[in-house]
Amino acid sequence: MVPPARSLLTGRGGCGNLIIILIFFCVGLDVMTVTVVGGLSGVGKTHWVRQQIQQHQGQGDPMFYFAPGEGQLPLDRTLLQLEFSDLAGFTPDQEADLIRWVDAQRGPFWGWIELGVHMDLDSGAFLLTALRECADCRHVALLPESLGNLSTPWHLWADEVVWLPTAVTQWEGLRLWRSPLSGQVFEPRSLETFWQELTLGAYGSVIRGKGLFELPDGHCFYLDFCASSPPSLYLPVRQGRWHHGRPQRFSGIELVGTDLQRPELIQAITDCCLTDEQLAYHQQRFPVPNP
Amino acid sequence: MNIAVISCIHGNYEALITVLQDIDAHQVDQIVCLGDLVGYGPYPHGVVELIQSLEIPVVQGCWDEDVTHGLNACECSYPSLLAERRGRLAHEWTVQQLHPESLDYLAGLPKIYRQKNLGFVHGSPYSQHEYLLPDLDGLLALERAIAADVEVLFCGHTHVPYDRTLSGGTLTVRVNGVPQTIPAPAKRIINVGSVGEPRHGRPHATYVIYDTDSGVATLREVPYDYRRTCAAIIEQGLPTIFAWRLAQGLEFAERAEDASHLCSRGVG
Repeated sequence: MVPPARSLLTGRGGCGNLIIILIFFCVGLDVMTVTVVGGLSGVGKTHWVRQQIQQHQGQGDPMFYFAPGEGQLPLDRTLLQLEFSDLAGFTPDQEADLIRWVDAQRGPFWGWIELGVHMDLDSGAFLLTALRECADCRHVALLPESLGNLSTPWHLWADEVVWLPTAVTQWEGLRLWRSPLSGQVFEPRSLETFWQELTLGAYGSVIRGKGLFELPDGHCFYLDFCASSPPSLYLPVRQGRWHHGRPQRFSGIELVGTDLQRPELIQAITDCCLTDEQLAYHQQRFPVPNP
Repeated sequence: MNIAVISCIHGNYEALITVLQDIDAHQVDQIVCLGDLVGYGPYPHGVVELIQSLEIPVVQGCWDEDVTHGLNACECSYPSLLAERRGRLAHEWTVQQLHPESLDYLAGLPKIYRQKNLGFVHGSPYSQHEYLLPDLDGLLALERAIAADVEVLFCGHTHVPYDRTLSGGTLTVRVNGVPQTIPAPAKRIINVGSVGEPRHGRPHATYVIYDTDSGVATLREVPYDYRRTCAAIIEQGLPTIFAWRLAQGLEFAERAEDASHLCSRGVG
């Protein structure tokens, strides 16, 4: 059993340090690695995990992603698994399956556990204890450079801090609001208006917003907003078009902010969604392409 | 002679009062109103009563028509599902608020008012619901002005003010294969913006003062206490999003942006 690795780098360093850390792990054959990622909302945790997966996917090693705080809204996991088809994913109630998956590995593997800003940093301590039986586990905090001189909960928690040039600084007093939207189809102009209102503060101060939204032409779009780095991203999701009836796949919205006005949010979202009759009309207008 | 042309008050009493005070301060000889006295805003009845008391020429707006004749189903009214659902809610609330005499007054308003070489409509000469956006195709814009049979056409409805001169146009037609070129007369379209529901990114009311002698149109942008209107929207139980949008200068529901869209429905 290899003892848990500790980063030698605790100061600023950004990507340069990250590369050195990766080399350190690889040269030491310390390749059964589980990284627990924490940090402020909107700092880029999932993006950082995605970059890590991209770096490792060519090696053919098994990889997993687990977000214990995703609840019924597996936004990040869904997107990652759509992009990386070999990535194993687990729901919050599948911790035992995750441990079995790790235990079954007979070679190098990589894993990432992402803790949302709403999660206690001790979350998953029991899981990590179990995982440490067969993998190196480390805590990586992603923090904005502007917090370098401050004391945050992540400073003490992290084995390694990755400093990022982001303007995100708020982590106290934030509220999380999210809602599954599976089966709902949005009228595009309504969605555009709603998202504009949302990001301009009509429903409270939103510092982070993201969601998967189904459109009547069968496409699904990912909308992503971070108050520290506007404007929003509108990205088509690489999955098949849904042509008939209500999409039987995951979609949903997640917001982090203050003074979020839940009834108004729900009303606005409801007003953007097509009825069965409207959806049928729209789907007739978008013919199914030949295979 | 100075004519103040106001439009699109939308039940915003605070904005109307402030604009009338501004008009008083600018040696105006006449006021003309281009309609949409009601809709979305918290004081539909108060606005109708005040406008009636002024005894000025008023043309019918799309909202004035809808609250008296039922919701119009043409697509010009609601460019999105969200806007339509909000619009219907506001429509039902407004109809409940209006007294029978106010409804009668709105129902009896004319679609167009002409005064010498000036024409006054809400949307276009064809429909209160048609948007004459500033980037509408020049030929189509010219055709609308010719249809009104005036030199200067005043309109509202888009809530964004502009002053557009259509000059130097010619129309070529073929009769039995023989081309004939007809010079188009110069026309001018002036959109006076909105008193009660601006969409130019600021909450200020806008209107136009037109000097009939010089032909100069002066756009007036008048700050008013929009917070009082926002508070009244919430007090009246209207959706809080209306108040938020008003404060942003974004209109209550949603704007039309498609300059190529023309109303398929003529003036009844």
